[in-house]
Order: sequence, then structure tokens, then C-alpha cells
Amino acid sequence: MTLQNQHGEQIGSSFQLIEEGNELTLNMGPHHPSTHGVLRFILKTDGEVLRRCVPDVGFLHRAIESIGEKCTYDGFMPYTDRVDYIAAMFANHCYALAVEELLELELPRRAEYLRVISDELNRMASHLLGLGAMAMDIGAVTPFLHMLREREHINTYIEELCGQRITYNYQRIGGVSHDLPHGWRDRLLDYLDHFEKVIPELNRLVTGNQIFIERSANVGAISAQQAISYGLVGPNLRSSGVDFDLRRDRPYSAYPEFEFEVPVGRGEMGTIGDCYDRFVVRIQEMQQSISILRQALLKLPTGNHMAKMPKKIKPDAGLHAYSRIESARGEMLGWVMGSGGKNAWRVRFRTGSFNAMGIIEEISRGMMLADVIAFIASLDIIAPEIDR
Amino acid sequence: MDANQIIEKLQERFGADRVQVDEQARRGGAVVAVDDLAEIMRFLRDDTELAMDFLNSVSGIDLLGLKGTDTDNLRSIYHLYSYGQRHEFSVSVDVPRDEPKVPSMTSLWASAIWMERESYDLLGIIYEGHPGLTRLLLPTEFEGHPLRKDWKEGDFVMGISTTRDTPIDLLKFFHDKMGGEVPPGLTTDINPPTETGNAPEVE
Repeated sequence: MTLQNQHGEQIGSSFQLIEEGNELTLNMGPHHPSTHGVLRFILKTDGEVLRRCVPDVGFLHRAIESIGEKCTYDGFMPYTDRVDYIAAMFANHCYALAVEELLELELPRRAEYLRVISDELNRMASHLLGLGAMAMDIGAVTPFLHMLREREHINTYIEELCGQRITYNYQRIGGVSHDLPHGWRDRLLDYLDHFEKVIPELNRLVTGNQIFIERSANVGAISAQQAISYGLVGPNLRSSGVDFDLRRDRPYSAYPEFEFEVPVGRGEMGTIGDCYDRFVVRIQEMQQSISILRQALLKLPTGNHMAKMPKKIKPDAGLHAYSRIESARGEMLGWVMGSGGKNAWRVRFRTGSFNAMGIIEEISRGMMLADVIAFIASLDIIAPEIDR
Repeated sequence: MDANQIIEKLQERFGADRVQVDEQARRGGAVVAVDDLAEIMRFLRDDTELAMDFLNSVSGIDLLGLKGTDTDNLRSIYHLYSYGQRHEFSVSVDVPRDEPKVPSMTSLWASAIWMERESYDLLGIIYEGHPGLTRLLLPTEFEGHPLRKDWKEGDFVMGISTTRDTPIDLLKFFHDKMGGEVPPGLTTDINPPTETGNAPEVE
């Protein structure tokens, strides 16, 4: 399975068709449009039925954990944006929370509220892109454009907040980098009124669309037991019927002060935990995000947006702490070990997409080739988060 | 249950000498020996009061050169969570550097399949009993385990140079090639390159 150049030198592993009996080995990716970043799958098919689908990851590996050992604690913050560039706020939050836990820092309430606001805004933006991409993978291009339009608005609000549209670097160790701009709160409240009306529109366009239902219902169903064993997290876990949300069940930041529901997959159009459920759960999560945002904006306390920080961040050698946050792609675990100096000894992220990748090989066995595209899209996988 | 209660329960079951308290874990944890790991982890998962059904993370660390320790061990940390009981715990196990063998947890939690592969890839910890312990993030041809503290980047990694000329040198090279004079700003006395090819730090 090696590819040779014209001089007979081996230049890498092959990306070609191999036929053995009835079984065809087929390569999908790394630059396939529906693989959500640079992801490769090796498919073994019998006609159109998949026998095996082996993911091959690592094309976007940037050694972020290794960089974390070589930067100061604050200096690593911009790199955390690159863990998941669609939802950069969460990796910021995750890392900041882990370091704060090492330092046993207490944050001002306003900082916690600003973190919740930026998290929920980012969750909406990320879900919009994920849902749009799933609809596009299934064949509907229009919803993707509608959703990107809304995401652009949200990006504009975040840009006013921190000056960036993708890699925010907004949440810092000890708080957030900027307080709200003048008039931002009222404008965002107005926008939320608008966005609330967009969701029923999206439901009419995609969620209730018969073609979409046929393509996604009963496809790639994951049972609750499988989901827990394979460590699925976040919306993927909840759509399998497990009623668990870190924001409610292991609260962090200011989340205990808000009321919201946790949408769980109910198998509305087919089996519990199928692709359709995962889509619907994310739509419902956006509605909950609107509700949390409204509460946070209306209850926003006064105060400082940064805690009083120690001059030097130097946790003791060997001391380690971890944080768990509910990111857009599910629970993210950030784990930091102090070295006694100004750099961390070890930084680790365990992300939602990484766990979701592990289950693909198991579930996709026996699936149709076209369904596996819908299945991968419904897990809302993003390649940089897997590889880090 | 909080972490102290979990440790008490483990110590009651396995004896206090086999389950040590991880003093340095902020949320509590235990340090166990490699030989006990499989048994203790199975107990943590299957006991009805503990019921750790979610293996949150398998993280490897290299302790070589860490302040306050004189070991060069590798460590594997397991973060566990129970969806039923809503409590969490972490278990650490130290293994010698020259023979880093840890029993695999893949038979207990399927999520360990990928996480152990990652830990093997980056730190070279060998998880015995893993169904397919191959590299995950790095290419199969890659040599060494880069998160180990004694790993050094070579001059070339898989045929690609890891150093590069400074831009000033490159400018000068092209300028010389075209036969012109070097502009005053581009003389070599600005940040002369070191042997590794990087400019020294400006004070």
C-alpha cells in the first residue's frame, strides 16, 4: 500500500482503490468536503454497504499540549483558541478554570457572568455552523447560508466584545479581557429577540423537512449504554437519552444562578439517539442559550471583570487540577500540572470531538455509504479539536 | 460521595497500603501500584455505590526532572466520573521509564481505546491488552514520543528540516545573487544567527 514517485522512491501511504474479492477499500478525505476539517476515513465497502470505517486523524496536530509546557500560564492562552477554532471561547474557559483551580482563585461575579454570556454566544454560533454543515452534507445548501448569516451577526457581537471573530482570546486567567462595550447589552437583547424568531424558520426549513427526516431519522442510532461506554459527551450524549449536563449537574461559573432546561433526545422521528435526534437537541440547545443569555444580561451584576491576580502565577511542583466545562461539542476536560516555575509541567485537553471519533468505527459497520456522511456530520466533529 | 469517602471505601476494600492518597490532586485522588490497577478500576466501575461509568480522560505525564521528585517515572492518570452517583475521582499509576507497561482499560470502558492510543503515541506508555495500540496523532513513521521530557527534536523530522534561515539572511542571499549592494539595514550584524538557526533573544 505504498505510493512511489517517478524515481521509484516511496513517498507515502497510498490513497488509491484496492479491490479484494467483493470488498473495496476506498479512501475518503483528508480533503473531502464533508469531513469537517482535515480528516481521513478508510472505508471498506461491499457495494454501497460499509464493512468497516477506520478514521485516520492527526492531520491537524499542532502539538498544543507540548506548547503548553513551553509557554507561561498566561502566554498559553491564545493557543487554547486553536484547540477548537469554531468554539474558541470554551477552550479559553476550560484552561483558565483549570489554572484558577490550581491557584484557588475566586472570581468577581461580573467576570463569571461575562464568561457565561460569551460562552453561550459562542455555543449558538458553533451550533449554527454545525447544524448548517450537517444539512449541507445531507444535500441542503440553503439552510447553511441562513445559519451562516446568523453566525455572522453573533460574530459581530463577539468582535465588539474582544476584537476577534474566530480566535477570541477573551477569557483570561482571573476573568475576561474586556468589560462590555457601551450599549452592547441592549443591542444584544434586541438581537436575541430576532434570533428567537429565526429558530422556527430553521425548523420549517430543515427540521420539519421530509427529505431531511428521511435522510437522518433511524440513521446511526447510538444507545445510551454505548454512548456512556464510548465516552460521548454533550449533545451527542444527551441525544442518546442520557439526561446529563455539566452546567446543571456539576455547576461551574455562574450557571447555578440561571434556569434552563436540558434537552434530551426523545426519538421523535425514529430511534432514540439517531442523527435526527442529535440535530434536534442542538436546535433546542440554542433556544436554551437564548434563555440563559437573556437572564445573564438582565441580571448582570456590577463589579470588576478581572480578579485581583497574584503577580506571578507559579503553582507548586506536582500540584495538579482539572476543570470540566460544557463546550459546544460536549464536555471538555482541561488538566494542568504545576512545575513550581512559570511554565506548566503538563497541559492536557480531552475534547468532545475526540471521544466522538472513537465511536464511528463501531456504529458505522453495516451502514450505507451515504448515511455515514450524515452520521459523521451529526456528531458535530471538528478536526482541530481531535488532533489539537 | 466526595473524594475522601471514595478513598476510605477503597482502603477498606483493598487495604490502606495499596491505595495511597494523591496529596497533590486538587479534587482528591488515589495513587495505586500497577499490579493493583486493573482490580481497583474494575471495582470502581462495578461497585454499585461507586459506579464510575464514565472514563473521562487517560493522561500520561513524564515526571523526569520535576521539582521535588527524584524519579524518572512515567505516570498515567485516569479521571473518572459517575453519571448515576454524580461524583468524580482520579487514579494515578506510576511506571518505570524503561518498561512503561500499564494494563489496558479498554475492556472496562470503550473510550479508553482512543485515549490510550494517544497516550502511547505522545508518551510511549504501553497499555497491555489494548486491541490495537498504534500511533494516533503522529504519523506511523515518526520516531520517539515527543511529550517525554528527554525527547529532542532532530534536525530533520521525516525528511523535513526543523530549522530555517533568518529572513535577513534570505534577503541578503537573494540580494547577493542579483549582484546588487546590500542595503545598510540588511547587514549581518543585526541578530546574527546562532548554530541552531534561531536569532538570539534581544535583551
